[in-house]
Amino acid sequence: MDKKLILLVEDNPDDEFLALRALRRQGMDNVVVARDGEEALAYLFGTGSPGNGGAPLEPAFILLDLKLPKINGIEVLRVLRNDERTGRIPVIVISSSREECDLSRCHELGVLSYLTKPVDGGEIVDILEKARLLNYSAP
Amino acid sequence: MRWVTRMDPRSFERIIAANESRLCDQVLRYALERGPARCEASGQEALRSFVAELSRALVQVFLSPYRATIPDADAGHSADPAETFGMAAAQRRRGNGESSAISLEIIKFCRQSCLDLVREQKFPTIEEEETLTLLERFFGRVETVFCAECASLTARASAELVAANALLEREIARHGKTAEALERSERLFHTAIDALAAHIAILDCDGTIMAVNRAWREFADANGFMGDDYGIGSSYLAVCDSATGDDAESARTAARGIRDLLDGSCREFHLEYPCHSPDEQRWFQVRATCLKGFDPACVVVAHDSITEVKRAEEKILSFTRELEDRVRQRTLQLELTNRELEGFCYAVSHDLRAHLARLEGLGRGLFEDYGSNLDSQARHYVERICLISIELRRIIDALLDLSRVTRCELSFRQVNLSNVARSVAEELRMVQPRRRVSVTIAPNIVVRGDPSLLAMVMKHLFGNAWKFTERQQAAEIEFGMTPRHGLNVYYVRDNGVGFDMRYAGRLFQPFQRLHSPGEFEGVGVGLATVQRIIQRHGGRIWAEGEMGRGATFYFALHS
Repeated sequence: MDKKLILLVEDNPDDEFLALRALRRQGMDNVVVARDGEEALAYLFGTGSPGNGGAPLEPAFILLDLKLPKINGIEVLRVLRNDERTGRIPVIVISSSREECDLSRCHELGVLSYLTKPVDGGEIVDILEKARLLNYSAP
Repeated sequence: MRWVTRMDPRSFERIIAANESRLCDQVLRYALERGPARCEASGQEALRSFVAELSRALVQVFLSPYRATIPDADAGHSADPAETFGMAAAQRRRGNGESSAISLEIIKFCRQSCLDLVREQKFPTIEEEETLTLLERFFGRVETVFCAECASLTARASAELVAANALLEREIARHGKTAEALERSERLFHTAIDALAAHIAILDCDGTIMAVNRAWREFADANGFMGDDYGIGSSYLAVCDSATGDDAESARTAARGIRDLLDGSCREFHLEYPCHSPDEQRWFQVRATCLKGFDPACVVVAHDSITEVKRAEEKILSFTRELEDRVRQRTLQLELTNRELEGFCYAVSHDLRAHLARLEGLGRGLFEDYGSNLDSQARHYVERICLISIELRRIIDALLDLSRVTRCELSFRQVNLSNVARSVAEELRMVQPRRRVSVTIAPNIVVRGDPSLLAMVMKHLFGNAWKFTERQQAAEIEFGMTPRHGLNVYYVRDNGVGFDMRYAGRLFQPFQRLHSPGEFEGVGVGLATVQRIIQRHGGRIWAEGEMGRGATFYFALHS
């Protein structure tokens, strides 16, 4: 089983629980959770150590909520895309908003996909497969 | 005749000849005093020669053997030398254009002079008497001839005079008629301009006022006009040129306009100007027109009060301003409300949906992870919770769609509805590949509109048709176009369950369903959304149907 690292940026504990469950059901349990945009950026740029406290590692992909405290999802995306160290990390947005403006801004910032909650693990796998980011199969 | 023999004719001749020049002077003086004689040299000469002629004739007659035959003036005699002379003299004088009346006067004067002369000579009484008689007779005959001449001349002159008189009378009558017509026309002119409400002045080619009307006079009276005769006879242009104060500029513009009319460089001119009195705001319009067919030129100046029009205009302007203000305020309020609404929608979209998604996710988790531990009743509860939260999410999504199609900005482009219909039908077939549905789509139906919203219209209409034909063995769906009342009307027709036309009005209201919830799925907002989209395109949508015999949805855009 490929234990590729996944960064989940989610502030709501229920959503975090549901996202982790969906990933786990697809065999993906190497997940680091950031509870807001600031934590996510600190982790990615190595200036902090959220989650398990280890050294920062580049995740295989990021699951990003949009509505986040401190620095919101769109801002996080913008910072990532403007830095060469993080510019190429695939991002899947998980949001409860179906607003056209959110969708179009995310696509402008080059997200892999935009999913609405509740998260379906199967859907995530489909997207990763299509993008050839997965070299393992679900259990 | 005794006296003839005693009188020495030569002495008489001498007396007459010696006194001829004295006589002439007397005649001339007389003529000058009486005034009728022509006093220039030729006239005096004529008198002189007439006196000489008389003297000669008198002497001749006096010396002739016929002197005794001179009859009384009253007696008729044909071969009388005095008469012969008289006739000849009269004829000559007539030929020379001398007046016979004046000649007669002169003859009478000469007679008196001669009689006085003879009396002055102190002849013996008998001789004197005879001479006097002879003189009386001679002059009497000559006078008679001249009298006759005068009479005949007078008769002729009077006949001429009568004729001239008649002519004159005719002329006078003719002039009388002309004068009457003139007066009538003058009266008509004054009455006509008096009847007009405008203040009118008529100017001659120098800009001098020739006539004014009643309205002009009344305005002058009411406004304390100081000049004479309401300005008639004074220069309108000079008044305009010398205006001061607020009116100066418009007065000078008017003067320029009238000068242009008078020199023929324009035919009509008008100007609006304020003319406020101390207690009233007033406006006038002056219209000056050059009268056709008058040379030298003639101008009519008419001042009309446009105060009412101006007041109405100002009122409209202030209303408009007020309205604009109100619209601005309302727009501001609307913008605020819209922003609030958008905020609300965003919150609903994000937060409400987020909670529902959690409910749905947790329910599914419960079902999937612990389903085997639950009895069938408990599983049913969990299943219902999941389905209801899914349903609720759909309703919220549909409502958000409805609000979005109302709020969003439209971007108009060419849209091929036939292509849209085809891809919508394909999607439906992919979802339910087992259904047997014959779909007919008229090719190349191209309209102008917002592509994503029109796609939503086709999706809902085809979705409905697909849904309501699901019990049909051979379902048919058709998309096409038909002209109606000069408009292109597009339609989606199906042979499904149809509807009762009595409830057609409720079709497009949100959450109004014509079928019970269990019969067909859907939240009941689709057609309301479709109607909003069509309305935002300036169009109209309506439906025709019959229970069990299908339905047709028609729509027109930009009607």
